[in-house]
Amino acid sequence: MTDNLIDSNKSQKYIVPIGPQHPALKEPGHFEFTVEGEIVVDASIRLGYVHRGVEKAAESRTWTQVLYLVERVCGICSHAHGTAFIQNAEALAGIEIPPRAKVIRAIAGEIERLHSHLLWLGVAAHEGGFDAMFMYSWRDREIVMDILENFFGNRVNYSVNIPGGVKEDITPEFAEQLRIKLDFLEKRLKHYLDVVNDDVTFRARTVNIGTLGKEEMTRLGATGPTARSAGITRDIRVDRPYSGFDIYPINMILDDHGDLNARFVVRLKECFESIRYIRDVLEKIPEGELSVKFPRKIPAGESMSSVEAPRGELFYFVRSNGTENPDRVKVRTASLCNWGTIVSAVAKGHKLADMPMILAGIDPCFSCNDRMVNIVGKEKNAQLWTWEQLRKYGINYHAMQEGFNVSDCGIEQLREEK
Amino acid sequence: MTDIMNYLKEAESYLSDISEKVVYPENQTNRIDVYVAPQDIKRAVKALYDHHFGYLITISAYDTTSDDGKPQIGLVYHFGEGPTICSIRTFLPHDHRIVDTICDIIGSATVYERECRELFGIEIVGTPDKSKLLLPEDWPDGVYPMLKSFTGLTDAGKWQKESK
Amino acid sequence: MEENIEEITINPESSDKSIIDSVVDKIRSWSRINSPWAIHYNSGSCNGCDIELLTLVTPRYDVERLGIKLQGSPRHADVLIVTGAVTLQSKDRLIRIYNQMPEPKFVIALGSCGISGGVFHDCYCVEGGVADVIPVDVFVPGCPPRPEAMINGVATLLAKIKAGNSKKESRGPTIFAMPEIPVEPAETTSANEPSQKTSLEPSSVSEENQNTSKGENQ
Repeated sequence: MTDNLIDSNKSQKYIVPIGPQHPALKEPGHFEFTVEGEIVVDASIRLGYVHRGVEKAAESRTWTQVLYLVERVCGICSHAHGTAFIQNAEALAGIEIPPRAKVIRAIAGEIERLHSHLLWLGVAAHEGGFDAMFMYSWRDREIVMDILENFFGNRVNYSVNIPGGVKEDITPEFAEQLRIKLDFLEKRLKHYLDVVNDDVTFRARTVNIGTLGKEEMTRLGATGPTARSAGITRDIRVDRPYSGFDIYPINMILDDHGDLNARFVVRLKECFESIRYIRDVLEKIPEGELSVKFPRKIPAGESMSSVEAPRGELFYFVRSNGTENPDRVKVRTASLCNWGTIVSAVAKGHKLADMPMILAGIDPCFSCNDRMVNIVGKEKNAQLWTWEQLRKYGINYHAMQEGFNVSDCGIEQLREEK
Repeated sequence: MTDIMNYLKEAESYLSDISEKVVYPENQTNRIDVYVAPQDIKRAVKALYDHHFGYLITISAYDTTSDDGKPQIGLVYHFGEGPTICSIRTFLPHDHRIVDTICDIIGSATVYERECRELFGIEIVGTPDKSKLLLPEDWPDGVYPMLKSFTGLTDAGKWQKESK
Repeated sequence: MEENIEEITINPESSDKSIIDSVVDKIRSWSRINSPWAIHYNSGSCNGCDIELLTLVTPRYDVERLGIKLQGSPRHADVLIVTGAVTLQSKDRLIRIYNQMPEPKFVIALGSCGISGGVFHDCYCVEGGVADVIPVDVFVPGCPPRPEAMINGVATLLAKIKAGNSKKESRGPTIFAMPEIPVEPAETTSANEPSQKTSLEPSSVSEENQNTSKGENQ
């Protein structure tokens, strides 16, 4: 089926829905790509397969309960969700958390960024058919998971925050261990940066793919590494510094190419910056209390603020009506607005074969498991594709462009499951 | 701090001929709330966009009551610029939940508008994509889960079981 | 394997058909226990369980060396691993995947949300735990469970298959258009309906498993 499509659909117009079997986060999307021959001419998005109604559920829970609820909006960036919510609640309650708690929140956020970027690096490499890199980066990610587990007692959903502060302290012993692990991690990351910059096949799949200029990115409101890869100076840690980053500032990583390769480079360089930041801050972490008292009822009011999650700006809008429960909690995650960018701009004009990498490039928490892909022709001759098949289609397509005979490729044949 | 004030004053000046009320919230010094009439939303967004002020963070809606006790929907267009957040806000009465689309100005607003349509039943005139974004395919028409009148799980669960 | 086949040929059944059947059955169950193929479906999870499940195939845990393989198509899978509370939108798809799997099929529900809905239990778009929709064989608790707990969950399931298979009972049809399967103790159901034994007994083994993996978790 894959090969047929490459050969036979030179002039037909197809609609290619991708999704919705996403093992990804809050926003597993169902994309519909309309293609003319190879080229995507239109794109649309459908979410909701993991829509649970968290925003409504938050209205019937207490402030403390909502903290643990929103941490489970996304298991990958749970600390960012928790921080974004609780800093709004603290602003409403009018309390200032101790500086040591602020810094610990910032450190936890940076450790989370390391884990998330390594996860993404592996998954994105997998989408491009680069499984060795997937295995290596996930092996090294386990070091970060060990740090998280030593620190907070859980590998995922570690709940660093409590209302009014943090629950765990950074001990000198832990800091010492952390430094050793970060040294090793830095060495590995340098290697990955070399691979991304120098590897010929990797560059063939990423350089000048999915390019979006600075102007258009700004207009569409892209955030996070996606925006910074096009040279937009937009980083909430710098623009609107929140817990910890107002005491010790962090540097912004920029690249001006705006293509897929730039997104790899920006994320990897951000990892170096995170490591540097954690090292620096561990030296001068302020002494003091870990938390202050948090009231059960919060005065009526509104608060909106953002956190720089690994994927971009995570925005929370919280309203209080003076009771124990929030009146409204609005969550805008980074992947949603970046998806808006991709769907409305980047995808158009690119080859269908590049879609897996382009979608992975914005880091929509892609996990490399099964997703269904519907290929619906105009004459209703529907074909069903899994995400896996689209991925292979992309890999095979590029292999053929390079002159390899894909049918000779024994590994792909073995992996063919249908 | 003066930097923040400059940004806020800048936003206020762009919207000066449209705004009905301007509020500087006390608990967050980097915010400005500009209240406009529902029909002026598009003009307000265009004013900010034409002056290259910030980017659209999101569109939020919430169910609330007005000062005289009438239920209404609050609609907030959040714009971020540097250290500040500028919110263009309006109120829609429950029986007249209609607002113009801003997708022809900012294309990526379509996902936020679809969300407001679906969860709050706000009719957005001219929005390009009216398909479902979040709720299940067989969700009943006219049931908007984020309204306060929606009692949540029991209703939806009951409906689900009866219909099958 | 040789042992198994030896055993089968010495003990022939009354008719030819059942000999072939029993041989095929034994080979099947042997291969199933030694190399279960699993499909993963996220029915509304926060991603925490999913990334932990994915670490199972990466070098630190590497369950492929134990013969466990994560793969994409439900038609090739023995085990369905479900993460997360079941949302209304993904419910039909979950049932469809379950029905596409060949018999006999087994289900593992990962995480607190898979058991009861977890923190999302009263959200308007959440149907409940996985057991409210399809029959579950093994629950693995935790938020999210550690990878070791997940491996233990699979091992528990394999022990269960091994034990259940010796009785030579085929599992009954398990197509549930609108399943409302109460979680009953295995003893009562198996006495009345032996054909549905395995599909209806999420309780005894799974509770035991909950305890073991909880212990491991802490």
